[in-house]
Amino acid sequence: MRTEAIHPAKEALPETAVSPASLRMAMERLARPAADPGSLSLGEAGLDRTLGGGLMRGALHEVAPEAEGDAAAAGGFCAGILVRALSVEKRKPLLWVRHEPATIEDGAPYGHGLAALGLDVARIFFVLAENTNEVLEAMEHALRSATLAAVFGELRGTVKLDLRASRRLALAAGHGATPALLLRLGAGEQLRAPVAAATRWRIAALASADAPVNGLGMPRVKADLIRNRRGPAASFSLEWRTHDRTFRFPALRERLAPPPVGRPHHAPAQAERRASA
Amino acid sequence: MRRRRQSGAPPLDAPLVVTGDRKGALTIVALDDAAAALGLTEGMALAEARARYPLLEVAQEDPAADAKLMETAAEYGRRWTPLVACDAPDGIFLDITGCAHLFGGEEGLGKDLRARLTRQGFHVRVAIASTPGAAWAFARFGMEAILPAGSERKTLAKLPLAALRIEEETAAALARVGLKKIGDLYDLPRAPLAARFGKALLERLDGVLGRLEEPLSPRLEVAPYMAERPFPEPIGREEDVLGAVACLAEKLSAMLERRGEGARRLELTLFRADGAVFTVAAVTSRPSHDADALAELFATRLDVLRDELDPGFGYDLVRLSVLDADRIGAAQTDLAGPDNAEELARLIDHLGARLGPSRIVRQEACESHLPERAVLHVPVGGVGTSAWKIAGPETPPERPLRLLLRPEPVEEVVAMVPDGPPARFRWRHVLHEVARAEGPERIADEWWRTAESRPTRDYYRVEDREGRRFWLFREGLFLREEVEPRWFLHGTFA
Repeated sequence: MRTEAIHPAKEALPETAVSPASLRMAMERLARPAADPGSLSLGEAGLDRTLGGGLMRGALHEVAPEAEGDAAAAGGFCAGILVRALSVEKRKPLLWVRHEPATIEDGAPYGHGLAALGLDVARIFFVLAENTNEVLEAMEHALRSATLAAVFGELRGTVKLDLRASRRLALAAGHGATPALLLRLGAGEQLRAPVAAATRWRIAALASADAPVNGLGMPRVKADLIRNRRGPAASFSLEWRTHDRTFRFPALRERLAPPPVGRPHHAPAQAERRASA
Repeated sequence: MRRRRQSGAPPLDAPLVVTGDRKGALTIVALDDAAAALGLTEGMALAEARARYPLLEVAQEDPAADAKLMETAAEYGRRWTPLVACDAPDGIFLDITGCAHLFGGEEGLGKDLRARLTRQGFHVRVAIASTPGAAWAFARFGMEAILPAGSERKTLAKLPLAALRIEEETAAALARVGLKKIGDLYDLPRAPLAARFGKALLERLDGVLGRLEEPLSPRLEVAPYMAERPFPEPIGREEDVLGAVACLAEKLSAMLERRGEGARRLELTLFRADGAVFTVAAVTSRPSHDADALAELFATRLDVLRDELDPGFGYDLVRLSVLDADRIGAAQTDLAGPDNAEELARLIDHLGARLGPSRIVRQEACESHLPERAVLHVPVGGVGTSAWKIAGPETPPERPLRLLLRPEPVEEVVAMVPDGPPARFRWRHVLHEVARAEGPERIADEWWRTAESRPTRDYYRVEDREGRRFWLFREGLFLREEVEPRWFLHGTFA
């Protein structure tokens, strides 16, 4: 287990002279984290702070739906991250490694839907992989080449992804300083196994904001950060804003920087005790 | 050409005949030398032959297997020339114009061809002439020969009219008026001949004599660039093959560079000493004449195909051809910018070689009302031009993130008639209570596709109580097209 977790939140506010100007500067720095070449900002300052500046670039990030029905929500969360990656690296394309079982079960990524979330579809290369090995191999090779804004792979089924396989991906990502994103669908119990990922996310769909006349609002998810190498575990409600190409905290978005909702690492299982007569 | 004996046939000394059903009777369609020596002929009834020689070995004909065998032989013919045409059921045309000198002239090529195919068990007759028709006629009706150019008229005169590849009835009709040899036609007035026996007869005659160009339709396209290397001692080890490929890639690269072109589509052909031919294809995402990159492409591809390629006794000829070339610098997608375009192309090519070129694709928007037709998957390499519509500020996506391969029927739908959104539906055994809905968006069938007319679809975007979003449609208009419209789920939203 790693113990040297860094908490960047501690150095957020300077404690010297408190003038309106310096306060404003501090607020602006909070709102827009300093451009950190090693991190991919997700656009929401509070989220980035918890992540230690954003998603680590040369690292593996695992995303999985909380329940089977949340597969599309998890996919949308990944799409948001990919939009962010493409908007930072304006000259680089993106590799999306599709897994045949995912295509059969969940359908194929749909260009018009991706574009509607703000993704530049013309800059996506899709790799059609048939099995797990092909997915992992294509991802690893692409990550090493360092020519891509991000590498996204999807895996469907109870695929055993051991430490060794995920470490290979993580190493390749580090080699090319490219963010690697892995979406694991229908993995079931296999998700409990340790994975060499910098962050692990569990995504669930969230009802959208009230829109006029009963319509649908912008997509929202509940994102549980269950492992975070550079900060604490946390849980967020996130809304995707296509126009700004960014995630936002939905309910509190008018405020400057809402704190992430803290969450204990292990929720104690409360066994109800029944008094016996 | 016929393979004289299939493997696994019993005693070698028994005469072998192959029979087929002709006009309701089992008839001999092919026979080996031993059977021919007994006086049996093609076209004889099997019953008659059996009556004479009860010990006859009989096999059923298998036209499909014959055709396949001829295809293999034709594929093998590519070692002499790229222009190979099949002449069903038992012939192969090779256009050896400009190739013969590589094998020591026409005589040398003929000898090489005969020796190699005989070793594979074929019974071969070879004729070389200036026109395909004359070669055909001599291979079947004359002696095997190499006709000097210009001598066709004289030498063909003695051959029977059937050698013109005309129909049997025409030949019989000609025989009735006393015309039996090709030479008999030479001095006859043409117009009456054509009027009486058809224009085809004169066309055949002109084709044979070279007065009319008779084009061959080659089995495969002819490569603009090609390099090959024969191995007197067949090679089989992987590193040897890779070495040969690297050396050929170097040769091709020099040829391409001279003309300022780069390879887009390549093919590696491995000729096994015993006649099997393997071809391995590769494509590049942009024109390249980089020898290392091209060789590496095939190294990857060969590594993947290792199980399918059986070197057996080894390859005695390795050929690398460029099937498509493009000007370097033209038609490049400037996706990656100048700095890493090269490296990106290498990555895409490598993945294509690893998984198969058709499995690296991009999506293109396509003008179609039908959602499933509105996206095209195109192989990389083409220039992406389509403009994707990006939603305006604060509008939730109108199209789903993922589109199911085909719409799936949903059950237990509760919806207001005639065109209310569903209030509840069951999909994949799970019941969804709809909390919000938008629609309908009517998508009618494209009127120009009249052949497969479909009912109108009304699409709804819905969100259930858990916040999961779906794209559903009702097929058919209530009471107008369908009495009870059916509901389908077509995609899921983020």
